[in-house]
Amino acid sequence: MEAIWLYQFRLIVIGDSTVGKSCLIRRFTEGRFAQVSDPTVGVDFFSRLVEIEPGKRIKLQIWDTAGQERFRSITRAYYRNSVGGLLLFDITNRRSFQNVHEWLEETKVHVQPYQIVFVLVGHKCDLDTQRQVTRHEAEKLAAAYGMKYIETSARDAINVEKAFTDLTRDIYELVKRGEISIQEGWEGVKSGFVPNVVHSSEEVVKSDRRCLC
Amino acid sequence: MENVSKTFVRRFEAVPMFVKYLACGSVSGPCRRELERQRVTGSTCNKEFGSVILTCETLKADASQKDENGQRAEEAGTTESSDRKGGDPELVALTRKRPEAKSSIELPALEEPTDHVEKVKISDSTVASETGWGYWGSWGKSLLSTASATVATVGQGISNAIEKAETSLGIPSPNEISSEAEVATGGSQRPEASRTGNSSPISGAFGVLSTISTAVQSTGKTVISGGLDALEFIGKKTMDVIAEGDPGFKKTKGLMNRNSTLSQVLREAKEKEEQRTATEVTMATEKKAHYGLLFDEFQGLSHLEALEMLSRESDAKVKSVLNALSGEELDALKMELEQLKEAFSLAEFYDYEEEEEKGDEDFTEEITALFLELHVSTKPHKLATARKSAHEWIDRLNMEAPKEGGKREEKQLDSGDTDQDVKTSVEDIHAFAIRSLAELTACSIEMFHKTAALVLHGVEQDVPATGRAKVLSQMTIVLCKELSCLSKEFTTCLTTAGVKEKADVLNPLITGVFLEASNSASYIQDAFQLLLPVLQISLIQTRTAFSQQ
Repeated sequence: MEAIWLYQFRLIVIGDSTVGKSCLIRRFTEGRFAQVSDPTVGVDFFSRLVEIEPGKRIKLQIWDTAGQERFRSITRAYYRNSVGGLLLFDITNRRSFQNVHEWLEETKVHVQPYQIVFVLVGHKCDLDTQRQVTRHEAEKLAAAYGMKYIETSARDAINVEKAFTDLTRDIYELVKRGEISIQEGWEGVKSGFVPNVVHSSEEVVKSDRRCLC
Repeated sequence: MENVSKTFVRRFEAVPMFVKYLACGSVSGPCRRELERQRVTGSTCNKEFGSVILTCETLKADASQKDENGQRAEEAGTTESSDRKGGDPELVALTRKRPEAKSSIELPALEEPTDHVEKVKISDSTVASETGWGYWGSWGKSLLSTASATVATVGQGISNAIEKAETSLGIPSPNEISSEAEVATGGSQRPEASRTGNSSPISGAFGVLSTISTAVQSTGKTVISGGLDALEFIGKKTMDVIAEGDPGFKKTKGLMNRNSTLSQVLREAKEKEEQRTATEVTMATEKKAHYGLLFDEFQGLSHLEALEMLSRESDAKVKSVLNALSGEELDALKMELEQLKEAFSLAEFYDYEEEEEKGDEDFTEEITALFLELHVSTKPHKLATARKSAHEWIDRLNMEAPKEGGKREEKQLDSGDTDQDVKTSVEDIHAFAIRSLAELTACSIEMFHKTAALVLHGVEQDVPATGRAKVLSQMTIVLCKELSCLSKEFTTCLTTAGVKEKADVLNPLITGVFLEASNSASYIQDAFQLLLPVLQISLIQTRTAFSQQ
């Protein structure tokens, strides 16, 4: 549990239900793959440190949202405070790919006035034989929205690390260039702690009741 | 020192009497209720209060032991507490902490005395803030009676904090007090006291004490409020002691005074702690055992925040529904909401004393059963696992313990084959205890958050909200109870493992565990209160669905 990181980013993971959002995040944060997992209720929370450059760490707070429609009103509330997002679809489920538009439209409405840096993730790429979405069309769609595209598998741990770190790096670049900035009342990006900066503790609540013993 | 400890002992003897008065009903119903009420108010108005009670127990002093061995009182006290295992009322102290939380629940029966309580509170705080500690110096007069009231209220032993308080405050000798008490009881302004009062022929301390307890009985309100003062005082004292070992906590305490949501407060405290620890990289151990950081690591803060969000939204919805209604319809709904609110008052906390201590395995069963009753499609797996691992760790430690002593050297010789070749240090135990408490609390909050989400958007929509509220309140009690049990087990481990440690090493660790357990319990209770608007909305929805049919 190192406390020293440059920034803290909040990332949101969205997509249809059963595309494997929770499994992807668990693989990334816990290094495990659960064969069976219950549908997410509302939102779940995970975190992990990522080292983007030697000695430069970023803390990721990952919001795992429920894909089920009935929780939509809850998950919507989380767009606003996210700086980045992974938009997942299941490469073996054409419907989930078609819904990518809708997901993007929805975030657009609810993220105002901020912006989310998205990456499009074609999940379950280990099931290549059952593929219903070609890499080419997914890349095309991603490009149309200015997103990167990556194919991952939580089960076989393919590209999981890369999906998150690439996104983190992209956001970091934007932050460095000042295109994304830390703002009061917005939780998307927060600055972390640099060692050896002495914080004068304001806790000096003058102890007039200091003990007598 | 000896003098002091004698005073201390005598004071102690008065306690059972007062308790008896309470028990046999000499103190009338309303008075008792007020007593409880004051505890409640006291604890809400003063954050430190709850942990005071805890500390008192931690350091429970055996009166006779103290008499013989005055200066060893501190160590004796701590060992004492851990030796006791049976069903005991200190659960109450823990779980009763801040049962009111922030919601505006009023216990109807208790409304009458509130006025008085308020006054007491106000006058105390003004005086105290003006003169600081000095205020307490002039306060000796009623301390004896108030302290016994305190103890009776707590229903437990008294801590060395009180003892310290005495020494530093120049508490009058028993004789002095007895004469004062006689003046009080003999005085014409208290006829009822002289009527029942001090015709007792028994001389010496005992006689004095019976007089005093009569005085205690007759002075009623003032004494009780004095008791509060005493507790508050001990609380401040304890906090100072604790703060020495945990400056981070002090920050938390400061933050608590602000008007902000719980998760915000916790987050700020955590962030400050992170800042602090980032500058002090060497203090790795302290960081390892920091409750706030761990609580966040287990995602407790995020779940709390999410729960607050749902609660706020629901609250706004409830208000808009109420605004849209009028007349009879409004009254009817208001009444139903009121009934729902009652389930949130946690009144059951008071029945605790009668409840028997349950077996260890019951927790998981109980929680699971309660969950079934809730009719939400989530299971308390995580919570059960977290609890299980904590208990397994304690068990392992207890197995390890007897092997020490003489065989320790041998053990270290052939340490190659054991995974834990070195004795678990008290710091390790403390760190694990804090970690477990943080984890269990985070899981509990997560559970409440999930429950809220499912109550609002789950499949099983037509479950009566009041029933759910009752189940949830029961669950809160079970969770707090579990935290209390766990903290006791951990402190037992600490005392066993730390027999060779000095008191100033061991005591802060023990206090720390109890303090965080008490904090955990209040987080859970606060989280529970956040569910009220959620269930109110659920009630309204069921109602509308019903009327539409």
